[in-house]
Amino acid sequence: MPGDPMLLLAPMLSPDAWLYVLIGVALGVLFGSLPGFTATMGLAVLTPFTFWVAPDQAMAMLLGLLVAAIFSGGVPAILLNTPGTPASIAMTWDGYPLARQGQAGLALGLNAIGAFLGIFLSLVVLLLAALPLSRLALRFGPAEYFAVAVFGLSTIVGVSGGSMLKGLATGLIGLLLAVIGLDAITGYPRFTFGQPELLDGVSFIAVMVGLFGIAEVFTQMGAPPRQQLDGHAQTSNMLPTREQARTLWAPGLRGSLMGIWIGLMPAAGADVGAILAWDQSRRFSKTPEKFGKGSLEGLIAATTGANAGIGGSLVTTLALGIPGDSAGAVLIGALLMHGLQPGPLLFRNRPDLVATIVALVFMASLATLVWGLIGARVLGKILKVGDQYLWATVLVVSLGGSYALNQSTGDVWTALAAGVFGFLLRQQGFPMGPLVLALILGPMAESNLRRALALSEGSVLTFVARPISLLFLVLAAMTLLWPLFSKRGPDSRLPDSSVPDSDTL
Amino acid sequence: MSGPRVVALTLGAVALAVLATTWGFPPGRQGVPGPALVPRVLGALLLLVAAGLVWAPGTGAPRLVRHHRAIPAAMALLVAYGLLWRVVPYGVLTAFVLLAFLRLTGLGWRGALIAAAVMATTLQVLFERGLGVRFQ
Repeated sequence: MPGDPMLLLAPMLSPDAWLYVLIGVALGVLFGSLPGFTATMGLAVLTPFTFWVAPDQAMAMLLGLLVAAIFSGGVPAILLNTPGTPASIAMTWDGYPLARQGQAGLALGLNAIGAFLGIFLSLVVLLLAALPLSRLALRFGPAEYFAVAVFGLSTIVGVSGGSMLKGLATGLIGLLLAVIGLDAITGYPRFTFGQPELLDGVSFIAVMVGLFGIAEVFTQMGAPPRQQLDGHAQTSNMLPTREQARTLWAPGLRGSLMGIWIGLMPAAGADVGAILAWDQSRRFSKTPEKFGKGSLEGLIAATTGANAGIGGSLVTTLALGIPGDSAGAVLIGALLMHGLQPGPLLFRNRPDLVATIVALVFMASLATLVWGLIGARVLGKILKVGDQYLWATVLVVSLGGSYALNQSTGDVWTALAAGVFGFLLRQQGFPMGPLVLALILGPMAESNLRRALALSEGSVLTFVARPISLLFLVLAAMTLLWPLFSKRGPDSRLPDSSVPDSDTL
Repeated sequence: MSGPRVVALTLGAVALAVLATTWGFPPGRQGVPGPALVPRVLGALLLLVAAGLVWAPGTGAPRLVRHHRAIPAAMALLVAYGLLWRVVPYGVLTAFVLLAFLRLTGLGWRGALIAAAVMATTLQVLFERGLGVRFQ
């Protein structure tokens, strides 16, 4: 089982695993620290390059990048009042006031400690969930897989941002892209227009690279230039005093639990976890008036809430094959590229891989903690890297990586087309998260729908007669109908912040 | 006409094309749906959503505040990059594309030349020596 200590220890004793984790962490620090350069973008650009290494080494790099990017997003939030990633929005509320009060070092230290605490607790939950999930796997058939895919698709409502209709539109585009190629059941070529390159379908990796790499560069090019560090940020005294630490453990624990809970819900990303953790801690605090003005409790709650979501979302991503957010979608794409199908069977058939993933996330969080506490002095230098160099690098690496995967110029054109159309659609307010979600879940939904109907000789009752299938279909219906009953506007009690596009983490 | 409405009309046209294309797909057998079912349902749903978006298009994202000309120029540059991919040696082509892109985004000649040369050489070594990728 995944909780076996030997399975967990093996990667931690491997120098190779540490090397790949550290490569990922270094890239994650770069992508997370720079506002506009997101964890999802880093994952999308890196994924094609992981094709040449073993699956566990690929996961080491990708998870290292994800963990470090979510943590590093808090750095510009604290120093510049600009969240590096949407997950760090809530960190601006207390982190930046602390920096203005000359306590940037303490705020950065709490960011590092909170990230480690949140991730560690979320991994405990992932391990505890592994055994029941592996037992549940035995009861999954085509009807259940179809229902899970429908539930995953229903979360498009959650990742649609401002406009549900626009999210549905991009979700449908993703589903239509997913049907291109040979039909999995009959072998009939659909929408291939006589092009042999389309028989295998649209390259998922190339589409992701285009949407989250190339389109993101164009979006950043048109956005206002980012704020520069004034050079007066004090980065010493990073650890809280014993007195301060005594008041911080409760909001830290509360933030972690909130982050895990939100992370477990598909499509409710780390940004939501951090905001709710911050809000809940304020309700329980003896000094709620300090929240938003430089409260250490507020900062630790937001940090733990954002980072605990990583382990929480890994549960749904690995156990059900439903990405919790865009970053989860890219991780699923990477697993599929290596021939690994996330879902209930993964916990039963590959407990070693699940244990390796848990160990790798722990290693990445440990490396990030050390980096966060001793690397603060160079953080300012990273923030001074010119945007042009990074844009240029992302563009040529994205296209080169897309080509390298199959050594096919068709993939270069796919990435380029996805980049240009993704940018144009985003300019009109269409979110990209639903498209990727649909591209992943579409084939799973269609093939299992038809297999289930074949097994039941065409009877649709098979989907409601099986309890697990029925449960997920009811959950899907509730998710779709929820916006009709929840017409609440934004919480006016929350502080204002320069909120980046919540489409990507 | 607003941008989101133009997108909605385009999506409507795509939906109609999907529905028309599935007309020639083989039917299902013994109660099991054929390859046309899912695309047909998706096409019909896209048509409905497109109609909804024409009715209530909503607003676009915040307007571009800089690089108004550089963005379309960069897109054209990347299309040229794709067209010349197998024609010009990768390292040389990438260096020229990087140089042009960095100049487009406002970097000086000296900085752009050095950055383009270093980045193109690094990428060529990474792809060809490190990963064994063949570009020709």
